[in-house]
Amino acid sequence: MKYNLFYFFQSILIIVLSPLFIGILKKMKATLRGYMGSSIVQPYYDLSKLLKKGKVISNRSSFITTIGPIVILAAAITTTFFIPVFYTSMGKTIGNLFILMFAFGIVKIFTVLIGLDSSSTFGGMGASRESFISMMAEPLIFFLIIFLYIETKDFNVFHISFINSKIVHYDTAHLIAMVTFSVGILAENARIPFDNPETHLELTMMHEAMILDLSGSDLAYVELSSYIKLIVYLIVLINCFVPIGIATTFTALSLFIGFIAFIFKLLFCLLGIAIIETTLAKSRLFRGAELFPAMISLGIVAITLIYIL
Amino acid sequence: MIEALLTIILISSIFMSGVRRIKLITAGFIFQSAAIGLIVLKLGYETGKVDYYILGILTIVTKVIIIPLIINKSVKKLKINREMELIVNGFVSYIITGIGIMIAFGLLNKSQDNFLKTGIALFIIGVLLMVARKKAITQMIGFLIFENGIVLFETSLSKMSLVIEAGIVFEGLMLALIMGIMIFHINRTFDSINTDFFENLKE
Repeated sequence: MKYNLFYFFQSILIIVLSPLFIGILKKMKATLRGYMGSSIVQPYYDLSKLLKKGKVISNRSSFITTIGPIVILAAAITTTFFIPVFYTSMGKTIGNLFILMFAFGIVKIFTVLIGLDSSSTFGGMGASRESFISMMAEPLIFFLIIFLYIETKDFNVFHISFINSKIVHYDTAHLIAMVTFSVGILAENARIPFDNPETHLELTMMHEAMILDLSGSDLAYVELSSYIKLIVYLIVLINCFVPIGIATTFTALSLFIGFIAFIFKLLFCLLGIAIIETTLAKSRLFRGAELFPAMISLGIVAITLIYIL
Repeated sequence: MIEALLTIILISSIFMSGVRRIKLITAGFIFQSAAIGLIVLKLGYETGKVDYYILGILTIVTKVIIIPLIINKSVKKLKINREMELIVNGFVSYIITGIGIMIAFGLLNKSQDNFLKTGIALFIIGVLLMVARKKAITQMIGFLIFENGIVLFETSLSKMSLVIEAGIVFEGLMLALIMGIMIFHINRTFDSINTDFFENLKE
């Protein structure tokens, strides 16, 4: 029972801390570009400001816009309870990768529906682009789920990170799958080679175009869920592919080491994203989509290598 | 260490098979050759044979420094920076490359030697680049990838002598030099380096 409470605690921690990590990411990007940037707790201020504001809903939109943000936030929060953060064990847990990916599917579907529901031109355009990108990104993620299943004979994220934390030398297939999953994260979270999260220019925005008509608390819910989504994807990357130092026994020392290692790895991933976003430009829609066959090909190679070697 | 280098080789080869910009293909080639050179040097460190050291240094000097310089120079001279019309487009060639690597590793699953399998995968990718592209400069890079495959292939066979290894490396260097001059002449005669125009009759 004690252990299950600890899972609950670490998932709550992720929900609370995810705006802070996004603030750190923004600060890193600002530092790399050579300006001061806002403070790392700025996302909390933004969210509290949005929560205080009233909301305006277009009189052409239906009930989807009313319930959509709440469903999105609920699905995003649910996913945090399916993943280990810095403690894992082989105990009985709900951590199936398919449940995780389909919960993210709910987030995506409702974002697209909100975009279509607002009956503005931007919403429809953003929805079509988002579906185009995720149509190609989802097979990629499922390829990697198959890879993890062949590697560890398990679908549970907790068990996968427990088994993989025992690996000393990572083989070629594992490294290729890791690179592929990182690109998948960038595609699923609308980061730079596919979409620019900062822009509000009408021709380039994708994610922002769909939530353009939201305001007040609705916007806060969607923003918070997108923060949680990025952090959860990064945690899946960290804990499935490089779970070095994750606590597998319930002692104070190993939990401390696990926490430090987790923070370090997450900051490293955020730094990687910051470097990619400051050095690359957003690619054209169809040129960005050309990256997916390459990644699917890498997925095929990874599965072949793990199956044969 | 060796696993990470093999990862770099496989990822860069898949990346090169579908990218259009010649600068990016050259960058991929530099990464791939550096990884191969480091693998050979690592083998030399493990076995203590001088042959491996010489081959590794030759590979790094020719393929990381000299050949990219030649390619960049001829690209600048010809004012081409990308391959516009492909015979097999990017989408398809990525997937063909993946399937090719799958076949190479699948057919040789009895062998425990990863260099042999990766070498054969590089043969497939090099041949694909040679067949599926129209510009002579990309076809040359395809041949150089093929040759990287030969270097990896022969490191797995310990019986090859240093003379043959050095010969192969110099062959690649000569090829790059000759092709650099040849492409320039092709461009002057046909006003393009598209190999389709070779069929046209000229007085």
